[in-house]
Amino acid sequence: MVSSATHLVDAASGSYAPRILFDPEIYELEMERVFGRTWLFLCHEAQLKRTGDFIATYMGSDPVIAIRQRDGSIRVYLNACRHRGMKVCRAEFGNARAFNCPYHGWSYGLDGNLIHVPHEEVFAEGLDKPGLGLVEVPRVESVFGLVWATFSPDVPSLEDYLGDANYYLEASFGRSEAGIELLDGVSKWRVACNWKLGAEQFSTDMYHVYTAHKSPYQAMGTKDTGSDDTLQSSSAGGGQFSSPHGHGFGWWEPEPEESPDLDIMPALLREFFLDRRSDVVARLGESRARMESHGTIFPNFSWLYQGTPTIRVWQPKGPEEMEVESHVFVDADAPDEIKRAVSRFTVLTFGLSGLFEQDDGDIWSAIQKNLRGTQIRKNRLLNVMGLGEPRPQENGRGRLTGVVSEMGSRGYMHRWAQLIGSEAYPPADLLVERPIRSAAR
Amino acid sequence: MSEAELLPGRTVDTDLKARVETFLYDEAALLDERRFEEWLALFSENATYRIPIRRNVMGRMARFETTGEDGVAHVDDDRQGLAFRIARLRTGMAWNEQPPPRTRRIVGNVRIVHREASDEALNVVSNLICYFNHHEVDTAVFACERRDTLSRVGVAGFMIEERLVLLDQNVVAMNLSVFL
Repeated sequence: MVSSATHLVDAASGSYAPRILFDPEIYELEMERVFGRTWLFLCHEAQLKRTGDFIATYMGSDPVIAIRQRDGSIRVYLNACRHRGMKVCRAEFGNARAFNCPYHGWSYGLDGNLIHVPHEEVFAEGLDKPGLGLVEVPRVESVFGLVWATFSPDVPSLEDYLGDANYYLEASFGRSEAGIELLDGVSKWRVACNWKLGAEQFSTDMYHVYTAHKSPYQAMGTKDTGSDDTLQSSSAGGGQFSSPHGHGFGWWEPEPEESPDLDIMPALLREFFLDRRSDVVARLGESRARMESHGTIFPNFSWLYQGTPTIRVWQPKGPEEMEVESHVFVDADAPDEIKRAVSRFTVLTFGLSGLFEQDDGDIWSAIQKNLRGTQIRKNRLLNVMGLGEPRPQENGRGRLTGVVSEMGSRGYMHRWAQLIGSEAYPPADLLVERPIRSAAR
Repeated sequence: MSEAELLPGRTVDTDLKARVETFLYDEAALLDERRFEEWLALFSENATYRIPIRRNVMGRMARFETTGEDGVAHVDDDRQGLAFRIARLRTGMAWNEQPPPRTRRIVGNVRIVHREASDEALNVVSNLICYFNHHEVDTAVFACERRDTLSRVGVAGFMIEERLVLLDQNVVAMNLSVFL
């Protein structure tokens, strides 16, 4: 399988095998080689205010706990007792002085050390307690207060890993000097599809918006329902970005009065965003102040900023199942009534019941079922749009092309295939795309 | 609204209870029959409809189990939000409900937990099981408690002023397109 990774994904020509979306062996390999060797998002620093505050989440297939330490640092451990593998923490979040295994009572401190074994004398041969602490995830770093961790000693620092994507993250997470906060509550739901269907879409597919999401624009009565046939030459401007590490980002940058997203927003929010505009322009420049965007940080962190600021994490739960973890974020210094309005509008549009969100989940799970078709499986899936024509844009950083393209998807799949295909950690390089005329159809 | 209190030996106004139950059964039928505009007419102008997130926390943190009004919810609508959802369902392009699903709601355990002295408003708690079936074999069961504030006006005898839906799922089984 390793040698066939280039056949599974032919990013240079814009296609990939359906098998990467359902094969259990490939899934196992990506848990090791993709989730084992990338930076994975955990939480926001402000969720862990006091010593002992913790969040329990997942890194790939592994449950982990992120804990605020006595020295103020955040450390991350596998959520598994060293004795028999039981979870030592079954709450999603909380505050603890120690983590006690419900099975035999082994107890671990905030620093992961094994501090108590009931009736230790029964282990006549002795226990190496100092060597039996919770297994620590070795590297934890933050940007914009967002906490990430990796199992890998080989991945570059988080800042270098993000590279030019930092510029785009800042357009959403750095709009205010105060930074952002995550509002209380993570909405979680299951979609019966492979986790990459979500991650790849945000990396970015702006093309689907005009069909999959036509209904909410129509229902909410925006002046632009996206029915025009001139997407590539839209006057709104924007671009699409692709990174050597597989990150992707796409944005429109309409004049505020031309923005369909501002148009469908409640008046209170629209006024807030317009009031803040000059400050944001001063901090980030005109282009980034206007960005209405979504993006993916490889492999499974995505975010959306269109007046509906939301993070989602696509947690793999087997080859044909994912759990979507959805957060709402907001400028930390926004007034309370604005925070409440952002939460309500984001939930209305992109919550699990959202006017936009429902369409995606339904389509992805239907694709997943279709790929059980023996004949259907023989046809490669296409991400060929805009092949071989990265082109400079007026604004933005890194490799760019027009906003409606599948370049980001190809960059995502390219990095995925590099990681899957190599036992040694592969250096990240930009995909060399074949010129459009020789593209396989 | 406060949680229902157990009142041993309390008397029940059976006539009022029957009218509340009839209202809730009729409401459920409107939804199962996809008569969404008639359903929306049961909500007052300033109505709120909320489905907060239910979280797994240790017992001593129980007060954090359900997200509050300043937190994120699964649904957090005013009447306009409900109207948008219905308008979307009517576009013919709401793919999760196209072709339309079949739903079956069973309403039970209806309790009137509080009556205003003026008798103008009631707090009613009920349980709901909503079975959802679409696209060949895709199904989900949504079980919840609903805490309603009803006012005694409107053609149906009551209007919904406030609905809080306590869904009994932490990780929700699928995208939620149904009203509960």
